[in-house]
Amino acid sequence: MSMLSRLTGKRVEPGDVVGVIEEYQPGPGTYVDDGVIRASVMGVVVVNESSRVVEVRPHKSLRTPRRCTSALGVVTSVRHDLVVASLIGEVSLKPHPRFMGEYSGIFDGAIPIQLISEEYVKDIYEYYRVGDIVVAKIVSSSNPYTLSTKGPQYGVIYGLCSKCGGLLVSESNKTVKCQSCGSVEPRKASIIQPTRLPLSRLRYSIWRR
Amino acid sequence: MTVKHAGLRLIDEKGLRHDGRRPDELRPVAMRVGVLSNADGSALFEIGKTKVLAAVYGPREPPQRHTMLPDRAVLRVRYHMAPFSTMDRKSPAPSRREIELSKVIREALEPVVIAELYPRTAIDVFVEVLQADGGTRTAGVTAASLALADAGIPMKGLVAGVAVGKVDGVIVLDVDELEDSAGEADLPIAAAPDIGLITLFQLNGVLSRQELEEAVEMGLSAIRRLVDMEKETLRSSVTVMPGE
Repeated sequence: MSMLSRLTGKRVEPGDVVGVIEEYQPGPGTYVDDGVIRASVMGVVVVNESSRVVEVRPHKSLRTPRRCTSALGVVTSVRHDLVVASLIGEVSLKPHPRFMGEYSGIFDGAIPIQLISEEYVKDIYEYYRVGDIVVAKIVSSSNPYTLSTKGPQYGVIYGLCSKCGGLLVSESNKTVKCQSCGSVEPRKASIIQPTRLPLSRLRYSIWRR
Repeated sequence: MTVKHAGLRLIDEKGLRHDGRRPDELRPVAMRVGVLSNADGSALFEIGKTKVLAAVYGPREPPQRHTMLPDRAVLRVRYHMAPFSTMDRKSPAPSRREIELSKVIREALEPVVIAELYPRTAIDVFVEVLQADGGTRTAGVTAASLALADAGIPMKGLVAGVAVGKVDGVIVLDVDELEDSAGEADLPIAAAPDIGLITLFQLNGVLSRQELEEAVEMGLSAIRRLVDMEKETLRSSVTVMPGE
């Protein structure tokens, strides 16, 4: 049994030695310093003997927006060609919609008009309004993030009625209906039910800003 | 030569210091992490009567977007002394000294933070001195290092700091306020012993080459002990780790 197999499951802090490059590849949570693989975060060592990778699973993982993941955000401005949203946390859509956790800060994202919907968008205000809570896919890997809401799962999951302030719930993929006054407003609505996501926590995140 | 300060001898006949410590002895140390729930990472560090609180936020988008760098995160550090931290009230406005120490602490942390992983973001570190009794800049570095590790920010190693000084012609470890003001030299050092890196090195006063070597050796061995304590504190702050 090699020294490193015995390391699996061991708790480490930044700077602790977890291997050498002659023996293993440095994985996430590690870095190489003069041929020695060291932990960069506090966590548990995991050695994958088949791929020869040593990694450190962090105790507290930092979440920042990543490409090809879905994000939960709130629309902060709508221009004729662009929707700007503040991204709050990550959402996993499979196997069912689930809030994965907040990002380490609030990041800006933009949905250009051509990525709003699969259909032709004539008037952007019929798709998004300021204050809408949206689920969007991140399509770029650097800040400012480009978002896409093409697809039935993406779009507005929660909004407030412009007449009475009641909760707007998706009625079809193009309309949302107020639960208090029955008014119908146009939106790019998501098929995800708002109850699937922790809205009280989301409201708190928005309020905290 | 015997230096006197308000009629007090700093080293007595037995070779002990004014508070009863041996020359190579640290003041009692206490560390805690995760003391603030609103911060992403936080730590409270006490060494003798010096108490320092550190809070870390981010990586996050800085409000001033022009401060972002395209290839790495910006580390922003604020060192601040609370108005009640000293005997006489300290004005809460940032002083020249605090602005300088913010820079010094930032430069003591920058070599260990792996900032390249988070381009176009800012990592904010707030160091608040709650009670000052000498060695606040090094205590600030130690607290900030713990808070960064608590926040989960990737680092090459943990950093700790300690001030070595010379009083009554004797090299002493961890100088307090009295020894700092009445002593002959003050040498704050911070280092990441795991990777063999000295990240802060200042000298106020005069030391001979031999004294400097003795002081650095004394400081680095204390830093090694402080980093071991930091690791122990971080380990005990976690009850259940993923995958266990």
